[in-house]
This record gives sequence, structure tokens and C-alpha cells, in this order.
Amino acid sequence: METTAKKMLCMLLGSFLLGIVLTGCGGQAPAAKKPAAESNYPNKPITLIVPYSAGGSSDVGARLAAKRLEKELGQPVVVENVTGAAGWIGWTKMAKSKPDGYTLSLLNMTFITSYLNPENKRDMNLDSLTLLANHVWDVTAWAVRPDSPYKNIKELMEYVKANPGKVTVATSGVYTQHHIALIALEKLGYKMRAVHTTGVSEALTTAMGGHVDIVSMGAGDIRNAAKEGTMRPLVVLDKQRSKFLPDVPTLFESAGLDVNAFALRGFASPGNTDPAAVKRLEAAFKKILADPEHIAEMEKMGLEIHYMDSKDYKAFMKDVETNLKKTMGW
Amino acid sequence: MESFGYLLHGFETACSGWNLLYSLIGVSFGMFVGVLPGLGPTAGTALLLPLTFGMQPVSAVIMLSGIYYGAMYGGTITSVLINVPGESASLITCLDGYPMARQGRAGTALGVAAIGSFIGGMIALAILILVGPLVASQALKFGPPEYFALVVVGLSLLIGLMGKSLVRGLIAALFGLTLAFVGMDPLTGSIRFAFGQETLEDGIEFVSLAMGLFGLSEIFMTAEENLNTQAAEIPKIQNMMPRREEWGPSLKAILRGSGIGVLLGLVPGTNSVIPTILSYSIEKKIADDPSRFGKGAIEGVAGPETANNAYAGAALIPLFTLGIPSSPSIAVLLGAFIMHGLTPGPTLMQRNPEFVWGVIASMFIGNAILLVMNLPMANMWAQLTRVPFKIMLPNIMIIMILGAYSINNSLFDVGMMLVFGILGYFMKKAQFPLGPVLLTFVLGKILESSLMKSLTIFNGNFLGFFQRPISATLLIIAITIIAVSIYFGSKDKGIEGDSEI
Repeated sequence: METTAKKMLCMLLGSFLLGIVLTGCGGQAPAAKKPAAESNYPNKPITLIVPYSAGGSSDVGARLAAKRLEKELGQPVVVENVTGAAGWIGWTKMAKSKPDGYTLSLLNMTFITSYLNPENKRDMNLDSLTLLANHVWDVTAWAVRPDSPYKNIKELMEYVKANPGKVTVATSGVYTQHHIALIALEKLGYKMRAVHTTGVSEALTTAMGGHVDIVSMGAGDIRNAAKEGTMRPLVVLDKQRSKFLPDVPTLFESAGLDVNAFALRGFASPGNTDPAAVKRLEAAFKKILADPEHIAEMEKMGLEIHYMDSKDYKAFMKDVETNLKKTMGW
Repeated sequence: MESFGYLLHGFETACSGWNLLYSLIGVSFGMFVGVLPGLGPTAGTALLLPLTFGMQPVSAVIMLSGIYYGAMYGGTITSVLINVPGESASLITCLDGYPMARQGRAGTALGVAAIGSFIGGMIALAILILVGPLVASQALKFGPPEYFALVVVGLSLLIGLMGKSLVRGLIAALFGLTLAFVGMDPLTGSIRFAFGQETLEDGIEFVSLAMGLFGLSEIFMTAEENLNTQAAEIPKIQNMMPRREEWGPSLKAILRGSGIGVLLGLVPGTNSVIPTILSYSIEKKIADDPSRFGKGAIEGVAGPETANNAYAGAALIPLFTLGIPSSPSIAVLLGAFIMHGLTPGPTLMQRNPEFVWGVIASMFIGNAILLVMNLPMANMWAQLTRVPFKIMLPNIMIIMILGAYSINNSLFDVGMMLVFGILGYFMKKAQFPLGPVLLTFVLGKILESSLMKSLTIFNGNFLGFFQRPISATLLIIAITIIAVSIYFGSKDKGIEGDSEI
């Protein structure tokens, strides 16, 4: 009697633990194996490294693209979140993998900031990678509380010029595009104080509570806050208006300041990736990033698609590098 | 009552699909780690945290919070039956619970503990429902200076977590603070203490730290001490209900325990042990015949057992509304929120009402399940104390290693967990308390970044903290706490003499 109870209990316990393990693994889709009939690329599953944690807007955006890429290429595209060092660990893993076109990664503009900053002592740069296509263009905008005294951007910038260091701006972190824009403005004689929070949502709540004057975020996020009525959009940091905030003037048109800020997210593979694979991937990205369904699903998330092909993307990133060097003095 | 509408929706979420099952798994696992001496709620939640990776956020938090309050129930069983606390919050229960068991009244002790836990949990939930939205609506007033001040209050109360030696406690707390410095400076972006390791640039992985310090070290200790010991004889459990004349005093103790637990749950820097100690000493103080305590007084079981459950529920209020963890276990839950892309804080209740209320509703269900598990099924759980460690420990360790790996798909994290496990083992051997390490690690990050942000806002003027009503009040409270404890500390020295040695 005694021992049966004990056995039962052990079995119960075992199946319980097993259950937990299985539950934990449930989220990952098994990579289906297909017979490698032809040698043409792609003939096996592709891994897309997302260097950020699952669930964030970068991750969701990449996963939406991966789903379509899978359909287009006829091979499973497995998204792997390899996090750490603000993306660098994921990029290192991608760059060190075989350049056969079966390992890609989401590439963020912060890749450049990371290696330019001499303190970080990075061992890669743009030339270490093959850039495939740009995906997202997330332009930066500023917003204030609805009861803020700053009614328009022109008045605000005049106030900032007359009172250097008085106005505070919440950013989503040090060396983000939000921070770098403030550095660029300071060089032009507009000094504001950057309050670095740990992320977009903290930046927003700090501004909502009136602890800082302005919040700097992506235009899509600002559109959402404006819809809720919690924040009033003030300016878009670009030459053209954002399609998320069509009524909001740009910094260039209203204050004549040529300072722009944006996040750029695209796809890359290791340096010297097999040209045949690059060609196939380029064509695939070109097609899926023009798909109206994909554009719509990304817009819903507040992300604007801005397709650039391999060559344009590389040239543009080189421009970003030059500008960053100039602004930051790196 | 807007809250009730939300709560009904919450029940819809909590009862739908797999969430009911996750709630059951959570509370069962909570009972399990509670019953097992050594493994407590902190280790239990840390253990399952990485395994919730692929789950919906609401399901994950339903399960993890289930572990957390489930452990509060489970810890009682071993305290009463074999005089070994299943987890630290049940330490006090040994004092009167075990004597009751020796008088053949183990059933009554467990019964009153289960009833008390249930009532305490329900009262805390009611407060959470009534007060939570109110706090959340005011929470936007909490800017960086207020967060800083609140964390300072928390740190000044850490003394309660210190255990026997203040010096060891302070060393542990400072160790946790130092670990919080590893990684990127939030203000300047400089990398600190990473020793060229890219993995360390984001700081030490919280889950590795928590699982290592709390889980692995405990496994090492248990393996060393109890691997070959024979299972203890378990007294019979019968007559779960208290005698008629005991109902009055028990219920009063339960209500007082609820009050104490709820109040302490609101304060960061505490843990579930403090309300139990406080409740016990109050029960003893106001009892007609204090000499009964320690010999099987039913209030001595009812009060503290209620207090720790009320604490567990109420500690969710600062977590949901401000994103500040009160205790080490809540710090692990905070980690779960962040892992699932949810930011606890002022906007959580507005933006993710279906999440918040789903979790709250699941706690009603979970508490009800636990009541059933602890009244009619108490005997079954008592058998758990008989499973040999030889079988249990390796299984737990496998799950931990898998878990540590799965956070970032990185072996580095597994190594780090092992290092902290070994470190935790030696710290336990040297009687360093581990709670302060984990809590100051989490609070330290908030402390540093909120200080830096505040000083940017104040343009470097420290006095700015005293020019804002909330932060000024909080800082004055903190200063008072420190002043009072120094005063009483210096008085106590004379009485206790060389208690340090």
C-alpha cells in the first residue's frame, strides 16, 4: 500500500515536470525537413536572427516579414531571438555563420552607432556584412502634454534658443536616434536636456506625468498616444511629413532646421554571401515589401515600410555613418 | 463600480482556454515548492520563468503568480507536520503548528492555516481591486524623483531581511547593489564591469542570478545535508476544523493578520517573513494568556499564516501600478512581465486591462483551488515530503539548466547560474542572507537610473528632491526610519551585548 502510493506520486511528479517542459517548448515551431531535391537556393530552412527579445516591435515586424518570406521562398524561415549588447551579440552570430544565404539577421541602424563609439571596441563594421534590403523607416517625432505651454514648434525653438538647457526631453535611451538628434540640435545652438529612460513606454509615462517637457518617440507611437488624447504631437524630425501624422509640421518647414532623426531596420547576411543567394533574397524582399497586405499590417503597428534594394541600402547606411561621425565627433 | 465590469471580463480571460489549466499548474507547482523544504516561491517562480517563453503573457503571469501564492499555502504543511518550514514565510508556523501536531491536532493546524490563508488572500485581492485603480490613476504623479525616494524607503527597510547579523546583511545588500552596476551606464552609455564580455554589456541576467542564488544553492545544501536521510514519520491528519470555542479567537487573528499583511505588502524592501513575525508577536502580546504560545496556540498559526498570504496579494499593488517589486519573489514576477514585453507601471492597468484583470481573476480561482487542495487533499500533499531527494533534486536541476539556457539561447547564462549557485551555497554556509542580494540588485537599477534622471530634470540640484511633496515626504520617512533604527540599535547593543559573535 505504502509503496504503491509512493510510486504513484513519483509518476505524477514526473508527468507533471514533463508537462512543464513540453509547455515551455510549445512556442517554437519545428523546422520541417524537406528532401533536398535540387541544389538551387533555397533548399533548406533559413534562420532569421532577431537580435532583440521576442515580443518587441522590432521582433514583431521581423516576424511578419519572415512569414511572407517563407511563402515567397518556399522554405521555412525560423526566427531566432539572440539578444544582448544592444543587438551586437545577434549580429556577431550572424556575421560568423556560413555566408551561404541560410542565416540572415534583422539589422538596425544602431549597428553603426555601436561600432563607431570607440568605447565599445567593436570588431565589425558595415563592410563586414552583406546588406540585403531595408524594411522599416521609423521617423522620430516630438509630443507634449495637451496642457503644455508650447503651442507650436517655432515658439518652442525660439524659447530653447533664448533659454539654453531649460527644456527637458525624454528619450528611450542614451545614443538612440532621439538622443543623437538632441546633440545635433545643441551644435546648432539649441541646447535641451536629455532625460534617458529605459524605453519607449517609460519615456511616454514620464512625459505624461509632466516630469519632462517633451517626449521623443517614433511617429507611429506618437500617433497612438495622440489617438488616446494623452499627448499632443508637436513636430516631425524630418524634411517630409510623416504619413502617420499628416497634420504635424516638420522641423525643417517650420523652424528651418535640417536635423532629422529616424530608425532604420533592414535585413543583412554575412559578408561575401553567395551571390546567387543574395540575388534570390533581394528579389524576394522586393516582392514581399511591396505587398499591400504587408504594408497594411505594418502600418497597424505604427511602422512605415521603406524599401531600399541592396545597393541603395548600403549607400544610405554609409551616409548615416558619415553623419553620425560628424555629429558625435567619433 | 468600473472595476467589477473589468473583473467580470477578467474571469472570462482566466476561465478561457488553457488559462484555467495554467492556473492549476501554477498553484500545484507552488504547493510543491512550498511543501519541499528549501525550495521557496522565489526559486519556484525563477525556475519556471524561462519555460513560459512561448506562452501568452497573461497565461504566463497567471501561472507564475500561482506559484508565488501557492507556495504560501504549501509551506505550512511541512512546518506543522515535521517542524521544518517548507519556505521561509512558514518559519513562524513551526512555533505553534508543530506543538499542535504533537498533540494530535495537525489537522486543525492545517485547517485553520488554509482557511486563514484563503481569507487573507481574498481580503488582499479585494483591496487590490479597490485600491489598485486608484493608485494607478495617481501613479503618473510618480516621476523619477518619486521612484528614487520610494526605493530609498525600501532600502532603509531592508534591515528586516537581514537575518541574524546586520553586518552580513549589509554586505549582502551591497553585493546586490554592486551587481546592479554591471552593464551599461544609463546616463552616459559607458560599459562598466563587463571585462570585455559582450554578454555582460546588458548587465547580469536576472534569471540566472535568481535561479543560481536561490535555486541551485538550495539544491546543493539539500544534497549535502539530506540526500540520504530517512523520510520523517508523518502524523495523521484529521479533524481539520477548529473546535467551536476556537473559532472566535482564530477569526480575529485571521483578520488582524490580513491587515498586517496588506499594509506591509505595499512597502518595497520587505518580504513575506516580516508580516508573519509581526503578526505572531502581536497575537502573543494581546493574548490573555501569552504562555500558551509556543505550546500549540491556534492564533499563533492562524495569524501568521494569514499575514503571509495577505502580503502576497497586496504586494501586487505596487508591482501593477508602479512597477516596483516589494520582495524578492515579486522581483522575479517583474522579470516575467518584462520578458513578456509588458511594462508594469502607471499605464499597465489602462493599456492592458484584460491582462491585469485576467491575472487578478485567476487569483480568485487559484485561491479557491488551493483551499480545496489544502482541506480535503492535505494528506496527499503531505506524502510529498516522502519523495526521496535522490529523485527530486536531479530533476529540478535539469529544468533549471534548460531554463537558464532558454532565456537568451546562451550557454553563458547557464555558466553564470552555476557560478551564482556556488556563490549562493558558500554565502548560505557563511550565513549571509540571500534575499537582500536579489532585492538590491533589482532596486539598485531603479535607484541609479531614477537618480540620474531626477538630477537631469533638476539640473543637478539635489535639493530638488525636497521641493516635490511626494518625494520629500518619502525621503523624510526614510530618514526617520534610519534614525530610529540607529537609536534603537545603539540601545539594544547594551542589552544584548556581543550578540554579533
